Amino acid sequence: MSSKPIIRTDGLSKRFETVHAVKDVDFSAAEGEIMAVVGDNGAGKSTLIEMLCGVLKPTDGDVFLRGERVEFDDYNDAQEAGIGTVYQDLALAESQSVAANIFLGNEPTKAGLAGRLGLVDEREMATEASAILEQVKIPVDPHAAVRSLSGGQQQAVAIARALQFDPEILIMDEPTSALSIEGVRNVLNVVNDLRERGITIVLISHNIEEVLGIADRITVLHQGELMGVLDADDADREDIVLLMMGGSEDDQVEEITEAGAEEGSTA
Amino acid sequence: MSEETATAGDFAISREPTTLLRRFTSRREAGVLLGFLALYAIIAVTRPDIFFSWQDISGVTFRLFRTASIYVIIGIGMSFLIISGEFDLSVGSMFAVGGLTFAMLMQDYRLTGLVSVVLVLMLAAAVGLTNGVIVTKVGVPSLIATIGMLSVLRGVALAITEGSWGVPQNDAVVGLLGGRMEILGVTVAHQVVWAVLLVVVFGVILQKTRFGYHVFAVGDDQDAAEKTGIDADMVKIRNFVLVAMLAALAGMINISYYGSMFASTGQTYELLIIAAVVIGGTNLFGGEGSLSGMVLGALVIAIIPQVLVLNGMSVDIQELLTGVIIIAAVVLDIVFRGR
Repeated sequence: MSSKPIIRTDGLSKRFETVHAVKDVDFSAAEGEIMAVVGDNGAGKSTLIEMLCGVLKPTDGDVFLRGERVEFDDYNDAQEAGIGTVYQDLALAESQSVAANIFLGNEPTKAGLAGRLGLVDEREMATEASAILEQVKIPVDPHAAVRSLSGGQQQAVAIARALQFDPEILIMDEPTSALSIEGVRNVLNVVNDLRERGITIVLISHNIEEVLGIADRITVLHQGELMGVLDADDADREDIVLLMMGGSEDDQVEEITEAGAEEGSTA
Repeated sequence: MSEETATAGDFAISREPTTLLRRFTSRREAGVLLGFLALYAIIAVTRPDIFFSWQDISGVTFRLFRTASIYVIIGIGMSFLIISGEFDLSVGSMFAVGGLTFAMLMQDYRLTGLVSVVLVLMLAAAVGLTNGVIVTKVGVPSLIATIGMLSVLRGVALAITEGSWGVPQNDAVVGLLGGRMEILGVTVAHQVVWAVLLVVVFGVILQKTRFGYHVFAVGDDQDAAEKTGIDADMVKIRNFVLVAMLAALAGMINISYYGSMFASTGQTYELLIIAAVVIGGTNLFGGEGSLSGMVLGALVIAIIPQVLVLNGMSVDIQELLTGVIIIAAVVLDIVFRGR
């Protein structure tokens, strides 16, 4: 894994009238790593990533992609720049087929006049959908209606849709929040597999154990502010919880020191 | 799992029925077709004198298909619109304005049939565009916006009938729209042929083109569709334009067939057509539907008054029963979909 940041922000802020959702956040993710973003409800996780993927425009601050400052007008801009997003609500049309969902808004058309008339090449769409699903090693029938799939399979379809544009960065918002235990395990395996392919993953989660098990580094937010960035190998649950509650790593050192002193004095 | 393919458990696939028969019987259309055939069978049981007389039953069937074809033509646009998550209650008035304006342009302004058709379609497109913009850009619910348009257009229809309300029968376009032809010895109204052609063309557009895919996606989950870059408002606006143009076309076809039209013609069509669409399996909340189902729904809606008339029921009872059937169809649709 390279430590070179592929995406970073400089003083990124977002205000919604009276609410300051994200305050002066310097975020970065290195090439090929899994960077988790954790925080309690209202910490600013979703607002931060929505600014990274073009859904929201920052009130202040800048986003840099491979060292160059970028501004995205919408999702498509970010997608074209190599940032794919898997939304928490998956953004799937459930009555439509898997293939139609993977290519939604970007359906391949037939050659010649038929294509100019907008006729979709359904055979190519199904073949391509199978190929993309195979990349993430998930057995899903491209012709099946999305509503007939399990939660894990639906998550896989949403990931496959993001992968059709060969993203360098994949932002995943709470990908396991609504899944069974087995579904969580399968989706995390997919995430690991994507990292092995060199894709940078920005993983938003509120599940600390899950994050410790898969992330390389962890960005902790509290009430819109960056509280710290931890190496997953060196961090434990208590470190993260303390930061999520608004304490600093120094506070924790002080608490430990005070506890040690008290133990010493009572000994 | 990185080197392996995920297997059973959470990734198990729920498969649809595979055989042709099972696929057909699992579809809504099968039930609607059976309902239609049952209504037809009621004629055979209650009025065998008519059912087993070729001349009589062919007359009944001719009227049935002619009436249904009007519902089908407007129902095509209504299907697109409902699948995309909106509906239009002004189609009955647009139907009357379309036919009466067509007559007015030909009689009062001495325009040819072809020019009149083009102008009426442009007028309808403007009405549909207005509905679409009010709903999508201003944010007025389609129920309110199109009820308002229903009233506006009915007022226009009444104003037009103070002038002229008949079309010249010697115009070629009038003949093309409202004439009759013989197919294998059976008399068929041109409007039935128009309906079939339009169903085929728009069926392909709905099921096989990018626009059709986007119509379904917008109705299924507008937020999801927009996140993939689909302009949901534009999809809906196009559908409002389409349904208004088809309603106007149906009005022109109707006045061409009969030679004249009243300002009140087409009242309650909006409900009958929405009923045909929903009975045919289109989800009233958007995202699902088919033109084949709508065609069967239109046949059911068209045959109900025929069955009642043949059995001596009064117009009041017809209205009542039609209303009950519409409400029952929509309630059952909601119950079975679990919405």
